[in-house]
Amino acid sequence: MSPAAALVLHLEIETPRPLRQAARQVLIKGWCLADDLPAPPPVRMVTPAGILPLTGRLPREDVPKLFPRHSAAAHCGFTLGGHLPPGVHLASFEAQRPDGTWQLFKQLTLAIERAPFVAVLDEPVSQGTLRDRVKVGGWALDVDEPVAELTLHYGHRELACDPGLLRNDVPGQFPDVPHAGRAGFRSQDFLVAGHGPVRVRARLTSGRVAIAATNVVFSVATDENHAADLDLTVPRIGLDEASAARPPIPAAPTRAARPQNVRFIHHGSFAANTALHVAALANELSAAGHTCAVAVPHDPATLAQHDRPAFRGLTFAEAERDEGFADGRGPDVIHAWTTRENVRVLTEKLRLRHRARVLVHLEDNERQLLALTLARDPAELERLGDAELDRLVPPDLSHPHRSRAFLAAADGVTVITERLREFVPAGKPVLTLWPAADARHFYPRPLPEIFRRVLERTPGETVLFYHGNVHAANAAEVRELYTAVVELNRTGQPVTLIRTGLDRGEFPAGLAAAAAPHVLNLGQIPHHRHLPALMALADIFVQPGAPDAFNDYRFPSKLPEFFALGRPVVLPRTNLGTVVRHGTDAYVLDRADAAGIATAVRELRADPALAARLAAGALAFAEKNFCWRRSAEALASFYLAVTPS
Amino acid sequence: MKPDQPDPAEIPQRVRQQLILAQVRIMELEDARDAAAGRLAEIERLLRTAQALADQKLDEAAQTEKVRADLQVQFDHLHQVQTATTAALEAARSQLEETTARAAAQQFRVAELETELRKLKASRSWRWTAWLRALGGNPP
Repeated sequence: MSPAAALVLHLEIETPRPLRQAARQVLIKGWCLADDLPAPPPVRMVTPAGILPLTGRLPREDVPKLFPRHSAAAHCGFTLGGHLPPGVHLASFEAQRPDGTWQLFKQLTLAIERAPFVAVLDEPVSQGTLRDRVKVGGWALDVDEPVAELTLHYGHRELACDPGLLRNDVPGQFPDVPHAGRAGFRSQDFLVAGHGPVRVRARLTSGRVAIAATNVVFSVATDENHAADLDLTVPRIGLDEASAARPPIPAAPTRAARPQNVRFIHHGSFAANTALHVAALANELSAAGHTCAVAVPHDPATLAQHDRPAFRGLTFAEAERDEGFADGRGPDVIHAWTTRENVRVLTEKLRLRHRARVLVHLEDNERQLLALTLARDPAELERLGDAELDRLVPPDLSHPHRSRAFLAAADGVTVITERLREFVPAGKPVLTLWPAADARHFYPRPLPEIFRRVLERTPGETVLFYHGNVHAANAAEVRELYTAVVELNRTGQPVTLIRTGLDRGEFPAGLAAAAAPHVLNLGQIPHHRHLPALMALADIFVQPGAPDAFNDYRFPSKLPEFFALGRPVVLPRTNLGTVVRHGTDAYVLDRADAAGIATAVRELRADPALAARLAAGALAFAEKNFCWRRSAEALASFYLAVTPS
Repeated sequence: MKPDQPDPAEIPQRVRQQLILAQVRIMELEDARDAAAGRLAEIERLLRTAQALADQKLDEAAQTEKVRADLQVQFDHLHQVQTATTAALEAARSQLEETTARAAAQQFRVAELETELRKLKASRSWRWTAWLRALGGNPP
């Protein structure tokens, strides 16, 4: 049999491309005519999953203008329709020749979406609001698989239902779905008190979960567990006030003339407080065109706790294996975040391999921190031999001797407070790098008055807020804060302390019991960006502590965040407390111990004008002194200064 | 086993704590919702891009197939021409060979006749009868 002569076709597929269709409503439109044929040829769409036939002819007013002498032009429009399974298919469009054979004229991809899960409540109502305590029913269908479990959700309630019940009306709507006749469901119990639109949630036989909205609202006011005076229809009181004025998004920073590859080596996971500093600097440096990577010793997944990191996170092991950055080069700068042993060991390995400049960041009096952690005297530790210290010093703390050699070999040092310059070898380039607060989230937030009223046990109660873990180095200070809270409540000044973070140490039993009614401990808040909304509940922020060999050298990470929120800040005359002005920028205590904190809180509550002045002063101080962009610009300049051109 | 019932005096404190934690949960869920919406939009965009790219490749493949088919037709035609040309060439070559052979035979005959003529002219009788041809005005 000789092959039929090929048609000369003119055509267009007019359904918008790329072709994307719902599984139950595949419909393709177009037009097609052939030279030498007086009528438009039949067309079809062939896919590996099935063939969609011609389902209709459409008149065309535009095609005759293109082919004025063609007799078929005015009625050459077509529709192809039918069902196809979900997935991406290769669709071949074909026209039929007079001898019955088909001629391919176009191929396109066709994406078919999964048919949506459909649910209808129709017993006793199919729309509107149902207020009665009755049993309810309806049908729910996923065309691909039967429902295994089904619950109704409304307001704060979840109501279990029996699925798989007979429905004679559903197969008519879904004739090709074999399980449609068993799409019925009915609640196992009567409605309980709750208010809200009803959603149907189904677990299908494969384990997949499907949810569908209905046209019904349940509004049941009361049941045996809910008194009638508990109004479930009131609007939800939000914590994040809409009136909080989010700052405008700052313009992009100036692009660096000499972009650097910077590898930070941090001593803890991304969940650590100081990882916020590294992340903020790395984000700003990246925005300026540098390429940053941050290596952590463990739990790299904690990077997910950071908001939109603009740097690469990797483990120490990956950093050891890593050959370099995207441009094929190694790091220009390795910024070792502290002299902790785990950081030092990795940095020295990488320094040898990449010949990069090494900077070391100091954020604590490491010797004091080691002594506090080991409960030993710093001078005694200093006298120990290397072998004994190797045995004693854990990887996440600094070796007194090796850290000194590490600093001596560094090309430069960054310090978080001026006092830390005491540990920097003479003649070494050094930059003081103040931390800041993430301006995307930490900005002046008004007190959420309505929520506070719900929260308060006593009108006029004072709320303090303290975020951060309690560990050996700060446990005594937090005990002072707890003691102040107990004392204030005991003397008629109602105070609640809201706390977040983990406790790595026990409070004295008596203090813990006395403080328990006044402390709301929320535990670890996984995402730091959610803290500001909670901090906005506070009237006053308190940083407990006193000048000593630990505090004098550190810069508590929470202080810039306190100042950025626009509340009075109470802090001791150490580290930042030696810089801010008492009565203008903050309330500075010689010692922020229990007695001092209690005095400050009483005075601030008794003098609203002072509180307002210190709130404004805190903001002004924050705006002038805390800015990650400025810190990052200074850091980038420092990198260039220690990097040969 | 049921958890221990809290001391009634602790319940308001727990409610306050849970009230705040519920707000935190809401913030987490709002983040998850926003992140999921972003991811969904990105996946939609990727699917559209992938489909558009696939459609472009299908068009290119169809165009390539058309070019291939055209080239095949040209090839077939050229092949036919080549076959005919080869046949004609073969015939011409045979004819040439035949002609060459015939010419060679004739050349051979000419050579034979020339040899015979030379022998004839060298013979004694031809020489002795030269005077007789001279009387007749013929060449010697």
